[in-house]
Amino acid sequence: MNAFAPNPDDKTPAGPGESEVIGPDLREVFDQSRPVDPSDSAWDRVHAAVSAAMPRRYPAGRLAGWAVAAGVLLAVGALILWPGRDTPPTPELTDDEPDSTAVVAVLPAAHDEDIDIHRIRPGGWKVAVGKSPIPDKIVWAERGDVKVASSTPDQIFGSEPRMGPVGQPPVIWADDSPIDKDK
Amino acid sequence: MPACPAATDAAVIARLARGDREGLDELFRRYRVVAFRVAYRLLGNEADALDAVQDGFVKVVRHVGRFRGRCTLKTWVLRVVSNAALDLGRQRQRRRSRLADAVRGRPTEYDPDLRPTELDRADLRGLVAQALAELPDAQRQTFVLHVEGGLSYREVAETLNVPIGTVMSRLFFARKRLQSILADRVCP
Repeated sequence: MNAFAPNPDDKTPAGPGESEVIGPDLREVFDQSRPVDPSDSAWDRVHAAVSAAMPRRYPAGRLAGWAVAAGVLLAVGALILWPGRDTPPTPELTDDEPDSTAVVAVLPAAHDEDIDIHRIRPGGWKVAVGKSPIPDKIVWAERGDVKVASSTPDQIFGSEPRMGPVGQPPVIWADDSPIDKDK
Repeated sequence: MPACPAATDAAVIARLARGDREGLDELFRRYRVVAFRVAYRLLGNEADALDAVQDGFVKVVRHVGRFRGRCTLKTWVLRVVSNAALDLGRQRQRRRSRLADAVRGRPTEYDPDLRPTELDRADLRGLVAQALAELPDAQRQTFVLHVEGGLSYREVAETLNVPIGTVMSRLFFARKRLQSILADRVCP
């Protein structure tokens, strides 16, 4: 059997967990293919090159002279630049604009480096055409990982949280239709 | 809150900051192997990996004054070395492509149930290097830092300055991609 072929009987959650992120098969391949450590002579060459690049230590008096000179230059620069320096206004949240992140915890799943912009059409609509950094679904938690401690009907519509049926993704949602107590 | 460096980290850093050769020896003794393995996985060959370790360690000793102790020394060293490896890899992209082509030409298969000889290991290293080379840089760096560098999710997140959720998603897709690639090439 191919060690990497998907196993239809595998009930392991598809989502990432720190312990199984690599999996036993990949772990074995990585362990078996671990690179041979370079020879001592190769390391000696690297060590010599790094050693040669280490900054030299200067006498304390010489360092003090440089420090005084740098301090004078810094003070002059600050006097020249400081009064004319425009600092961008810091956005402030008012009572009318509540901080949405204070209510909803954000878990970013992609970074700038994960996004490849394929093209941007010149002129007209500046639409960036790219590829989704998340090409597949990520299962963050399985049904057994979620416990509903309590639920409260929505104050406006009176809707109540519900759980999807077994076999469906464990999404909790609310709608305004009455709950079927028999299900 | 990032973990504070151990006292021994502080001692090594202080020695490096003073230009002390014993500090350099300690840096090599502690981190050269893990740095080499991370660089090797990112570049696929020993010569380039050694160059990356050299470039990275030079940056470490020259800029050790910038280390603020917000992460461990190992995390910082691996960040510098892995970034150096990626930079080197981009510079030597053509060479890496030739390596991948050479590996691709071999009718190599790997049986995980057999005890591998060193030649088998070399072939397997080539296959893994080729598979890793097919990952985007960000995924490859994240995966290698976690698997070969032994960094936790949080440490990888600190190393790459990305949210932990990004680390998780990159690892998830890197693993799926590697399994898919290696499934075609590693078989009984």
